[in-house]
Amino acid sequence: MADSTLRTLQTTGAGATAKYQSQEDLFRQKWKWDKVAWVSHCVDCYPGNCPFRVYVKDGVVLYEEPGATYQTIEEGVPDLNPMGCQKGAMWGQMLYSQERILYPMKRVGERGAGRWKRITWDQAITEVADAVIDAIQEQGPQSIIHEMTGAQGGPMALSAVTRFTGLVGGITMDLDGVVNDFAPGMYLTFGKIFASSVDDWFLSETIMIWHMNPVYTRIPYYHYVSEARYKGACVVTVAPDVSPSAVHADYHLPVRPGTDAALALAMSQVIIEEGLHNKPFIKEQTDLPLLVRLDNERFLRQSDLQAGGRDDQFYWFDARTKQVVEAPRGTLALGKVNPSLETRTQVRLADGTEVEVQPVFQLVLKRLEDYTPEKASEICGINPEAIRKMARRVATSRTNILLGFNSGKNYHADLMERAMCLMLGLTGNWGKKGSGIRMWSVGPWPGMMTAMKMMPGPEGASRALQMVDSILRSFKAEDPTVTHELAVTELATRGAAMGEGAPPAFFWYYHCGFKENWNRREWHDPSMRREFDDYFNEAVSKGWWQGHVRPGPETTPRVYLEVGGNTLRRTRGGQDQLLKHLWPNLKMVVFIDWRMNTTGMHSDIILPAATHAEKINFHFSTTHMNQMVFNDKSVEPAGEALSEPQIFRMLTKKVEERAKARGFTEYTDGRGAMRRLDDLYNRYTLNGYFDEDEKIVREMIEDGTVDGTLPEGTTLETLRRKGYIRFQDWGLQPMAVNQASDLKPNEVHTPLRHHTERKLPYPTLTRRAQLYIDHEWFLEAGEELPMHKDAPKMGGDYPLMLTSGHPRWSIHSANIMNRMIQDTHQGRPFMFMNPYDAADRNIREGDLVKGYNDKGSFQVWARVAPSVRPGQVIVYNGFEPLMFPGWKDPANMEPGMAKWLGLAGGYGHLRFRSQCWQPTTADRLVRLEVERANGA
Amino acid sequence: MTTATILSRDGISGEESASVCARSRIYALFSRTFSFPEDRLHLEIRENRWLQDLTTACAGLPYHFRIPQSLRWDVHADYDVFQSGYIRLFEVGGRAGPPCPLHSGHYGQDRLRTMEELVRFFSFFGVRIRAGLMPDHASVELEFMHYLSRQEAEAEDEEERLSCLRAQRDFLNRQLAGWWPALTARVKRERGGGAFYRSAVSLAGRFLEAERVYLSRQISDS
Ligand code: SF4
Repeated sequence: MADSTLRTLQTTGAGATAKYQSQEDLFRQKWKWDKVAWVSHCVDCYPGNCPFRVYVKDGVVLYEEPGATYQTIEEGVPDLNPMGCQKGAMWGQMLYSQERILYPMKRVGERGAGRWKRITWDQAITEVADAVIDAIQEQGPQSIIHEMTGAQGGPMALSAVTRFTGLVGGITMDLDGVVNDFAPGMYLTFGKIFASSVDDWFLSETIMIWHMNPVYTRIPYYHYVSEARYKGACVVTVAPDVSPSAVHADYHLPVRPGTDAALALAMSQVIIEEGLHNKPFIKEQTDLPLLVRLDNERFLRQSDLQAGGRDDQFYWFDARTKQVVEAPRGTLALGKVNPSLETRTQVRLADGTEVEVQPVFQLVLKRLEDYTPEKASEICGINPEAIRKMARRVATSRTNILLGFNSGKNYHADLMERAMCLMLGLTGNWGKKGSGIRMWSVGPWPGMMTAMKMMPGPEGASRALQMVDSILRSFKAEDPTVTHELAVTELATRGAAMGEGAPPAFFWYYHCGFKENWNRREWHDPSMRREFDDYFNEAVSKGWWQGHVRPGPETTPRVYLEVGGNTLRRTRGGQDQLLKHLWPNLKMVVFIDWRMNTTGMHSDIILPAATHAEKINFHFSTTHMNQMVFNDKSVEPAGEALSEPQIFRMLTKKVEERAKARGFTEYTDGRGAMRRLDDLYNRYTLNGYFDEDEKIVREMIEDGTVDGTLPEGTTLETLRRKGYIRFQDWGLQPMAVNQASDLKPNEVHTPLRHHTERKLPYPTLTRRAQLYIDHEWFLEAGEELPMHKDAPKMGGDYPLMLTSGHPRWSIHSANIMNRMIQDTHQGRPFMFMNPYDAADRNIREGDLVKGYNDKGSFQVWARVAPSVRPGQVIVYNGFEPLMFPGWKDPANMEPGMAKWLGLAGGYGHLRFRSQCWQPTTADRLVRLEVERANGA
Repeated sequence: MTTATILSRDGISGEESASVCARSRIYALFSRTFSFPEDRLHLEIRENRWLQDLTTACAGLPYHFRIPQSLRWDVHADYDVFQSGYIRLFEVGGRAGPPCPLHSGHYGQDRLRTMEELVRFFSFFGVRIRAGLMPDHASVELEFMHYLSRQEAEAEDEEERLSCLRAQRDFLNRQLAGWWPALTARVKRERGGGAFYRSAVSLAGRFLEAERVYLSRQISDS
């Protein structure tokens, strides 16, 4: 019988089951779980994707354990199991953590003062809706900003917010730009970034862990490195410090910080000098045989040779016929041609002048003269004999560079990565199992199809597919040399110029104060010939970023939607940068998350999101795994939390309602298109069809069977039973298509096999792996080929360099407050410092120290450790700013310098599309001095 | 006012033992006090009705228990300020959450295990938490004590009464009385939150301690 005196409890009708004697009776009681369900941790623990089971009683998750049910993919290759990391193994602690926010709240004091009051969902959503409409009326829809992060909500959260910003005409900042994971050197070389499946590592003979620390960051998959080593592979760690991964390697190459390019180039020099290079591979797969004019250092083009000729038709010298012939654009197959890597010859241009040309390979030889092991050793500090030994090893074994997300955060990331790619290209080390270079990549994603649909059901999916297919066919008709990959890439590129995504660089420049930083010439590389603004203005005025300069200077950002992210921690310059430049202009900062963080503390409205087992979701799809991993809703959300799709459905409905009430239902967006608000909800939900989260998930799965990414007959029930399902095809997700390899049910995934096996061209200007970039700016910088340049003095001329890395203890800043995990480290932020550097500064273990440069300062506790080399200090990423004294983390002294060459465009593949070519901001190797903090 | 009339406000009626009812009533009052404050509670506090109710219930206790004069019960007149004090103290904070969380699991090593024991307690006695709440919230634990003590009052035989008494003793010892001192210490350290909650936490702590002594005596006497 119901008990009316109870407010927080309710009677179950069962009554006391027995007479209570002692607490042991509670545990003797027969216990049946209300629910056992499949979940994962839908956060940016990339690649993640560990299936877990949760055990639920009375609406509470009480136990969790790894599923460990992945099947073996390739015979002879270990399976993925058990999967999991220490964070995931106690995600229940996060689900019920102290940081959890459970009710809609509104700020009642100053921003950041930490004073809140609860408000109803309706009030919260109404205030946000009005702010959105105000912003559109006052500044236009591009004043509504969402910075995409992989963070806390999983794909369901991402699609919910991006669909909203897309429909109202707001801007979603590109994920790869926002988090600075972009690998520019890989992109410059291949026209794409990609990643093998993790089990492919097992097939390597040499694993080079470079700018990565998988012992910390790849806990579920590191076993493949150990297993490969057990099988006989050689594991090499290249890192300036004795990183935790170096401890387990056969060799540790302790490069000086930022000198990786010199090491890779020296290895390349040895490889060629000792005749270990793979000529057939070089000729077929790379641009090294292509001819370059000696008069202007540019590729010889058809437009040079004939009036009206193509700008993207290149040439090589056929050693067999002794003729300069066109390098085919539609295939890498050489046929009967034997492109010379040596011959220097003369050609007559269209205007009758004669110029000398020679293959890129010869320019590479010239460049490598500066990188003999002895010369490079002076730069990178590695013994010349070690360089030679390693070079021989790479040249004679299947080598895989496990490139982490560290390199892209260097100012000269492009040069470092291009040098690595050169080394791999010289040795034929990609496009075959166990070889290559990995970064990150989105995997197959049926949700993309669902988002494109104009009508629900399989019919809608088929129509969307047909539409895409007809566009792809038209590209192929325009140019018969265009392959499926090239067509999809082109569609993604053209689509990006019309879509709602934008590279964040322009937002940062115009609205976040980075113009000032980026124009500090002394913080750039000295080889930047002109002022930064000269390059910036040239890039914009030449239209290289047409359609992407958003929001431009004429639009003031007004509404900032933070959904599962933490911009005040993530963005270079930190709070000093954003609170000063961006925040004062924002009329509404909306924070949607399951936990409080630094950005939440500075927001206006807080909307509590359901998380983990409280909502139906997937893990992020990735080519590292190629599994669709399911997260079932197993318990009701705590407090009044709602899932992100629920929140945005409410918001679209409210925007529509308020717009009608305010008589403002029509406007022109930033691209000149008419937008309507009076049917927003219907468009958001496909006329109400997507009015429940489960329906969206069901549709996504079923769309996967239509676009072929999932096996026929797969349903939500399949996922509920199994927890995951392996994708069977890439679908149309561009990054997945860019893997250029078949996804086979019984094989590990190795990217680029279409290039090496089917001889299909690369999506670069030259249609080959392109090591020579003859863009005018690259030539001006002397960077047409990879080279080494020292990291610039970002932040000023100070003796120490700050480095970082993803931590072992948290997934970005999630879990950093988990007290159980805090018990496994100091429980507070710390900075590693070499004992010599510490002694010079009278710093002892545990001292509170101050790091500073011309940009700013922060305080942190010192950890004196000989594993760090002198001159380097390390603060791992992930600590919440509010854990530092004064809430100031190292970001406050990072100027976030963007290398000017990142703005280059108007050149083949140097065009923006989602997750691809764009300027990003460096945070590695920022200069600083460290001293004991006052009063320490 | 008799105990029966005090309780009838919440719908409890019958001929229960007045002292047990007083105990039950105080648990219910504290449970409500540490729930998120609705504006009605704010008004009752401002109008001194909250304190009157508590004082009356204390007078009916089976042991001597007085509300110290030194405790201050004033609250800000503005409801928004009052609730923001509660949020700041108990719900949302900067560094690793609020300074004085009201969830007992945050005072132990492993919240899931704390919650498991609570859920098992509740389940043994035929109750469960309402959706959206956590089993280890102070208001839930206090209400469970209210429930058990009322079950005690309504017990049909001595065995059942003893079962309820033992459960109250264990629940108090293993849960509320275990973490409340830490909460009290934290609240004392905090400047924010206002006088009311400082006093309420302190008074509830004294009450729980008095209860602990009372219950162990009851059981050893039985
Ligand atoms: S947090 Fe990520 S890596 Fe860790 S167990 Fe969960 S899914 Fe796996």
